Amino acid sequence: MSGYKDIALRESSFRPGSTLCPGCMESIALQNVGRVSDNGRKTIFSIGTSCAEVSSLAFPNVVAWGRGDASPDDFAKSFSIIHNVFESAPTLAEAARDVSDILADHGAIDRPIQVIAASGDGGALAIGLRSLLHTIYRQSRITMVVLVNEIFANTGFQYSPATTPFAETSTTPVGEAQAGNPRLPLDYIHLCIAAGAGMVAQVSPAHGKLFVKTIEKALACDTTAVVFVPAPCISGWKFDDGETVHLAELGAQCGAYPAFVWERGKGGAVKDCAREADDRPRLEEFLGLQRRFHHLVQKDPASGQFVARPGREPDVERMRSWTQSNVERLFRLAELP
Amino acid sequence: METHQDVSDLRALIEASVLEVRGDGKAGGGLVLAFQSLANLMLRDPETHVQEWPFFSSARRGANIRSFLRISGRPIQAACEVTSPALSVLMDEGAARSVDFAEGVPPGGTFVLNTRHSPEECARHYHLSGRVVTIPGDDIGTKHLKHPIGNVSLYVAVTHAIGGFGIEEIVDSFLETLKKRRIPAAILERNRAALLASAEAVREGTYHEGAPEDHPVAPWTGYGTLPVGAQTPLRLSQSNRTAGYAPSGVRLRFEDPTTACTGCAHCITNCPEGIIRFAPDAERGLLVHGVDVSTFCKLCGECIAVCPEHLFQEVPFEDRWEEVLAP
Repeated sequence: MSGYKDIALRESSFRPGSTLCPGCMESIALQNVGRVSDNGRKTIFSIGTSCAEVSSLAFPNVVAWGRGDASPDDFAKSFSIIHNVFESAPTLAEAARDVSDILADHGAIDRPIQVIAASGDGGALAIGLRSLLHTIYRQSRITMVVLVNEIFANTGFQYSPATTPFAETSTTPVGEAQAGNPRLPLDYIHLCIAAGAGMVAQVSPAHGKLFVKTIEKALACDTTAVVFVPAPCISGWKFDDGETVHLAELGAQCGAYPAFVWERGKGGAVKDCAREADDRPRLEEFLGLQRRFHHLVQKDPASGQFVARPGREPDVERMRSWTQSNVERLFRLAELP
Repeated sequence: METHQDVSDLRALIEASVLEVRGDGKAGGGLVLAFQSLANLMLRDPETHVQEWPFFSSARRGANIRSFLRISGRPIQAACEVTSPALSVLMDEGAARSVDFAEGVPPGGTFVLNTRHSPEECARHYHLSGRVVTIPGDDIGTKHLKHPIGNVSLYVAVTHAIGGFGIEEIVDSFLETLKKRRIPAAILERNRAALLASAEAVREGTYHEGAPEDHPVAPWTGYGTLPVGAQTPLRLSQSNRTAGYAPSGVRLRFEDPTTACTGCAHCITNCPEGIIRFAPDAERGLLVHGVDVSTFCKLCGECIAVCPEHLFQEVPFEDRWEEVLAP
């Protein structure tokens, strides 16, 4: 295990020049994954279609990937990227893992290779849930990084199975019939644990030290490790510039997507999120920063705090009980062996 | 289009052949909405044929985008990019850093710019020959919409340039387009105020500051020369200098005269672009000494937000695009 600052000094394989939105959490996450993976092993990335893919691998200007001036012969610094459609990121990574294992068994390569699959929540949990679960079921030794921005951002902000209740998306508009997304998100963490993953985590780079430590652990895991990265989407969640990291941290502390790390055989823990609702930051503050919840909360001019809009109190209460059940659920999952 | 056509009278152009309009802006700036409202306004005349389409990449915010509009009294057969528009529109001055917004405009064409500068200054700066219409759209947006968004004003300036519309229908067409996007009523009213204020703020003049060789059309050599997968020269022209995504007129600065940096590394791990400059340091582990804003900084403000010592700040800066900040 390397220290936080040692990892900051490493060279990331994700470079500037992507066309991602200013302040995109996906690019922060990939920067850090790229830094952690600079650990002396060759890395193979398998990236499914997502914002992160279309914005960083645009042909012919593949500009956002590369590691300094290292020559291609420098095996320890080298990495490669395979792109395939949404659902294929984990299965393709599995294939890369198998081929490199066979090559290693026959002595064709003598150094270890690490395989990282990356996909969005739409790609991994809606379109590609089957391939993700089967990759986990086959205990393939890969690290799956799921960038959870809770929408299909790339195709125009449609809801995904990870969308927070009451969020306004282009396919769950706020109207008289319904107040945003009417569904509860899929319990993807439990699904991955139940399918047999060696490690499941939910942590964003806002918890910097925990994030790099988790990715390091995931890379060292001897079966499938799945890391869900809550990624506030500046265009889809509609918040102000410079709020990305703050929002990612606040959402985790409020119980919308608490930081959670679980390892098979060792159990897990919920980090930086209290079990009792009173010990957590006010949920309205989290909702108020995002215009996708504009129909639920408004700023009270007297106190400067966000409060529920008149008539929307029951919805905010339902949201609060959802975050409470969310936190309770993760605390119970953490007790699994 | 014939080469020696008089392009100064836009109304006559609509009657005689086709008025071609091209707009340059940045994604997220509202250019598409302005052009949709223009198309909507034109379609109020049942005799008019309109074609409107935007061109953009997967980038959602800040990247260069283009919008095209053809208006004619006859059915429009052409279905390609506009390469020699009689009316060229610049939504965001930052967009003009990456592309030439006046490219291919015939002499005597019309230019509409969203800028604080006067028409004369613009004509000299961008070497424009023809009618130049300007409007300080960002200021009007800040005043009425609490947000420096210039599309409302730009739309009014373009209707002014084409001429022949009443203020009522100009306002109605824009508000109709907003209603289609489910914009709340309170914001519609603010937009109405911005539209009316814009009508008073249009300035124009006719200048001859451009030479014939100033805005050449990029040579089109056919699709055969492009690599497989590339789409059009427009796509290829999008460079990866993502500093152009940042808002105009401000820039990031790192200042640490007292070496207050604690080496916490939060700015390094939370910079989406990885452009923080630092060096290993015996005492702190590492020491940040600058940030490379010249090429890739999109000015997302994350470093400003996460630095516990508040060493990063957004500062206003004029015209000159300074290169890498010295360590």
